Amino acid sequence: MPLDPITVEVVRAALNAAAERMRLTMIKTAYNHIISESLDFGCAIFDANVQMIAQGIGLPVFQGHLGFPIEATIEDRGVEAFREGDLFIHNDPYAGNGNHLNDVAMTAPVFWDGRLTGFVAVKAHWSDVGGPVPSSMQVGSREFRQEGLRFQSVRLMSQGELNEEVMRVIRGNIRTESGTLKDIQAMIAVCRAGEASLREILAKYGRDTVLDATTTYMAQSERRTRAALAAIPAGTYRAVGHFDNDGITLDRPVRVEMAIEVRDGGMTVDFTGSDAQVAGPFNCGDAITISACRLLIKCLTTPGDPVDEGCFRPLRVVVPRRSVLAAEEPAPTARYYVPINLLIELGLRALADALPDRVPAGAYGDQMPTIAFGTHLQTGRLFIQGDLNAGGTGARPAYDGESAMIIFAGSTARNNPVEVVESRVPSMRILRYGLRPDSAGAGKFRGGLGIERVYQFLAPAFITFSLERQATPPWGLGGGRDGAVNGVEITSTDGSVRHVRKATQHPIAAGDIVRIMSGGGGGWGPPAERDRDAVRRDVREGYVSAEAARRDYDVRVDGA
Amino acid sequence: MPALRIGVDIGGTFTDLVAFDEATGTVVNAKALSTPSGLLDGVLRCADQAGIALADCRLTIHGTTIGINALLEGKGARTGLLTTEGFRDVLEIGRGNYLRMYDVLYRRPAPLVPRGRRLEVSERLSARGEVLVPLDDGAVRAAARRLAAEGVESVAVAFLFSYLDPVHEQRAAAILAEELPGVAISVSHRLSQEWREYERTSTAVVNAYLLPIVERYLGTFEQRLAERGFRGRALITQSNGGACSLAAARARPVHTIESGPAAGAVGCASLAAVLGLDRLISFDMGGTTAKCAIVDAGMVQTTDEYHVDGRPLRIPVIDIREVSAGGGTIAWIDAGGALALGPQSAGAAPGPVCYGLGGAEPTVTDANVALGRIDGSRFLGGTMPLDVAGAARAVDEGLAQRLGLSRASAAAGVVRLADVKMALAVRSIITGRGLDPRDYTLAAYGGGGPLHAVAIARELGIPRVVIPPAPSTFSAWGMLATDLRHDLVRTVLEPLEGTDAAWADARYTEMQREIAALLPADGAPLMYRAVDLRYLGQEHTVTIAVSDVADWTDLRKQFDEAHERAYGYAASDVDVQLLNLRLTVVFPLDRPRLPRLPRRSGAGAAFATRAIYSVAAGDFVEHRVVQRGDLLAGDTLAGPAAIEEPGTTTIIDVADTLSVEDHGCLVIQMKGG
Repeated sequence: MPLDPITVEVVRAALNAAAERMRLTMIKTAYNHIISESLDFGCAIFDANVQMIAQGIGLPVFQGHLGFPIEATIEDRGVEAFREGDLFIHNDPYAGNGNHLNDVAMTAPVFWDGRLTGFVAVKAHWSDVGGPVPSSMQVGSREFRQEGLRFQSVRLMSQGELNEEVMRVIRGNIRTESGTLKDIQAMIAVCRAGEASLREILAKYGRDTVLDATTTYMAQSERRTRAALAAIPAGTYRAVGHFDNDGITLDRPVRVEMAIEVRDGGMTVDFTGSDAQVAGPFNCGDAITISACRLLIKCLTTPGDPVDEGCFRPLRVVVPRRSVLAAEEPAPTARYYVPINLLIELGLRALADALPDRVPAGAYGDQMPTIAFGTHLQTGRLFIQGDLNAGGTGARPAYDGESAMIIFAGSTARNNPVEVVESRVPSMRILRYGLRPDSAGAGKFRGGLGIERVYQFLAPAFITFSLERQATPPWGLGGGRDGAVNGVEITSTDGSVRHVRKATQHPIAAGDIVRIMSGGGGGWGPPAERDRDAVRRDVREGYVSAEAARRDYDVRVDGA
Repeated sequence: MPALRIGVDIGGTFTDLVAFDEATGTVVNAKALSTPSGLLDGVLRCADQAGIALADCRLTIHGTTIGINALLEGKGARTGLLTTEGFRDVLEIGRGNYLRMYDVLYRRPAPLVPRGRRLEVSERLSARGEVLVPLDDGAVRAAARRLAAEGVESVAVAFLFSYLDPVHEQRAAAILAEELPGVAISVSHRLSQEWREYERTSTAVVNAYLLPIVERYLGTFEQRLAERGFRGRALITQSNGGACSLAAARARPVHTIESGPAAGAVGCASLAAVLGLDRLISFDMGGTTAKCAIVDAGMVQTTDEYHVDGRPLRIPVIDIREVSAGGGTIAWIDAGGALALGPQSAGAAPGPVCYGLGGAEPTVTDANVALGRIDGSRFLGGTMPLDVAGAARAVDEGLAQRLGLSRASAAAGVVRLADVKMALAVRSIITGRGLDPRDYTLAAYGGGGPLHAVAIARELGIPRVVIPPAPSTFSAWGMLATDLRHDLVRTVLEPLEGTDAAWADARYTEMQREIAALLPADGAPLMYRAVDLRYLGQEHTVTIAVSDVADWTDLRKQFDEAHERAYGYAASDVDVQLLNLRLTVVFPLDRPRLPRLPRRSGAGAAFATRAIYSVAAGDFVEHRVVQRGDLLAGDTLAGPAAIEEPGTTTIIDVADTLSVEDHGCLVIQMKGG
């Protein structure tokens, strides 16, 4: 007899609340702000077949992702390796991780009545995972071993006992100032919270009822997703784009190509034609490529509905092996998010003709992470200050783009307040944090504006930069123009100016001024069709200069 | 001798008034339709309807939605903003995050002050509070003239690091006051003394945006009361669950944002005192949503993480969890074939199908009617007969037939799903604060609370449920029970070991002085001090109460222990940082005394019986049906039973027992609880 629909919903609500409890535990117990403020983590609950039945998401690209490290561990060590009370850590970029070594997954089995009944998993960004530079993230590494420690399904906890030997290895290889040791404890707390919640639910409703309910609602999610796909005109939609370079050969852009076929309630994303894996760290493993496609299908089909494995069953992803999107050992992956950012936006662009009212023009396209480090003036110890920078989003088919938003793939992350940065690092002072006039792509609807953040360093330090989107600037759609590209400009006390796009441990002298400029979004529709009053308002508010208004829109504004 | 006190709650549909006569102990309730064009007319109509002479009132407490409405409808004042040079766009940049993860077309609300009216002046403090660049007075004057030319009615001032030293903000405010007579000035450090410039700026801007609106409204309020001969004290309920004077509300209208919803929880705090309980969960189920909040040690619990429509406010606001599961919430079958509840609501108009006002889709109330849990002939004391057949038809056609279930099973499914959703909301607020539901009593009110409370308590293992007298107007009653309350949080960011009791005492005393200006001169306010501590380098904090600054040296140990309890580890090798000092000042007002019910001698209350569907038993079961007005103190009753009163019905399951407490509260002891 099929389970009654009410019990299905009750179990679904309970499991989603359990995943939410895991999510809140991560936010509340994490030591580092990259987890608690930038939300660079994800967690989820699975059945015994590694089907995701509920998730609590921090970073969007981690949705639909956490089954991969569990599967990799089963593949590697057999399912019988999972015993009650065990915890595994895993960050192998080529098997079940896909992103950089900093993103470490922790997985645990959940037993009920002596039987393996499910799994819980969490993945979070470790601020340091060893290797030659603080934060472990370079732009010029040539193999993964230069990027820190690799964990291949390492048993961190054995039947409830923490494996102190593993902890000794970790402690001996990471920068302990990073707080990562405490974040490991927080991740354990997240797994324990998920396990306890799942057990409560199993106790309350019974194992068979819970499994029936999850099977039923995953099938419902699949039906909903297929119904939404059926509403998209059938066809194959293509897009090609480039990211700037691989961090080593700076004049060679790297190609990402995708063909999205929507047909019969299914969607296939094929990356054939994308470049082979590159020498520098701008590769990713296929696990995160598939996760990014899962984010895409979710946005395009059922953005308002609950997320479970059923949402992804209509999706098929084809990635050529040893390509930049399915890199193999020993390709470095520290900047895995660069091809991922691009493919998500390209996927949307590919569908712009099929879904003309739902696709924005191109965005600034990059988190623009800047990682400053040096000696703290008061404590004399190492400081690491990582910042993500917001930029312009693309114009929409019926209104202007939003200014100063973090890129969509990391859209839940937040910038760091000026008062927090200066309090934490006394040698960094922020002179200006504002919008960047004339950065938006012109159009009937213009893009959003990028930002300008100007730092002055009062003591020597180093910065690691990685900037994108010069090869493929924020694109316009439907006749809209491209937005301004991202840039960094460093001015020394002698007045000399350096332009830097990618650099590891770039030296900054006392008194240097570092100006970070994020790009604007592309425009939508021909600029000539823009409402004249909107142009005048933009000039009055200082979003567009009088000169640009004349040049791009042929509108003269007096006295501005 | 005037001895009346009245509470007035102006809601979207109705204005509620509760009057309490301190001499006789009687309570009078009145309800009138709200008139959006003249909110105060509704209040006066209520007073007339209840036969209240305002000249006899000693105290009027008002919960207002004027601020939140102006904000949500974008009808605030024309506002300007003055910032540190280089930072006028902080308000527009915000934190750069999307609030809806899968929405590629996500739009933020536009900043309340457009870029052209955000002006910068030369000034700068360091992160240690030293003046790096002195304030340029001339630039402030020039900005004032530009803002005057722009015709602003209100100006906010928000400078970097003003929480460390307000000297520049104060000076700028003084110059603006000179240059812009009649223009309201809101200064960030007077509203929030915590770090994070965007959140503090947003708080100051919302305050400025609302100030002239609230000022005019309260001016009229005061005047209309005076015209009717009112000579007593008038107070406004605030978002923190306390009340404040009209003068304080005019200067700091941002604190009135959640004025209305806070009242019910405040009533629960008072109820806790009456019943001698330490811990209560306040549970209010109305027409469109259900809300829950926590009362601990007699205090409504607040949160600092609050925003309206994406705009953060860095002020303590009552910690309320809201879920779309009200009486009017619509049940439907989604594209995947699953039963879904809300978020669409039939609201008050057209309302549930059973109201017969044009509603066509089945709601939670319709499901309750179809199961006999609400008696269609006795709704609102029989003044509004319900369309029972219509409710049943809606359940049949909208749900039962499509799910292949019987009518009763489908309706019971809706009730059960609503129960579970509400229970999860209650649990999330409880566990989110690290508390155990088994230590709490659930106090349920609003039109739907008493119908669902027992099921929610059972779901969570809460041992006891309390239903106060007149639960459907309990929120307005809650206002009468409020105290004056002000909070101040100040970011200090010092190593804990660099501080001592004298250092702390000096700062708390200064904070107390700031708050004292908002309180009446007479009386003895209660001070609650606390600190937010964390390990150096860590993001989150743990709040520790400081009952006596003499115990300051013990803080490190207390923090390690609290951190271990909350997060499973203590890091005794790491330095501790003192992030914030917290101060809550409560100025107690006399409480209304709940009238007492006489005790029964002899036989129990009369009852009828009726078949009501028991969700727990899965079938219709004969319930004893008692009219609440027939109950007297000391009465007891075993479930299954239904207690009916004009605004609601209380349902008790098999084996739960009810007793009537001296003030008329229904106390339900859960089986096994």
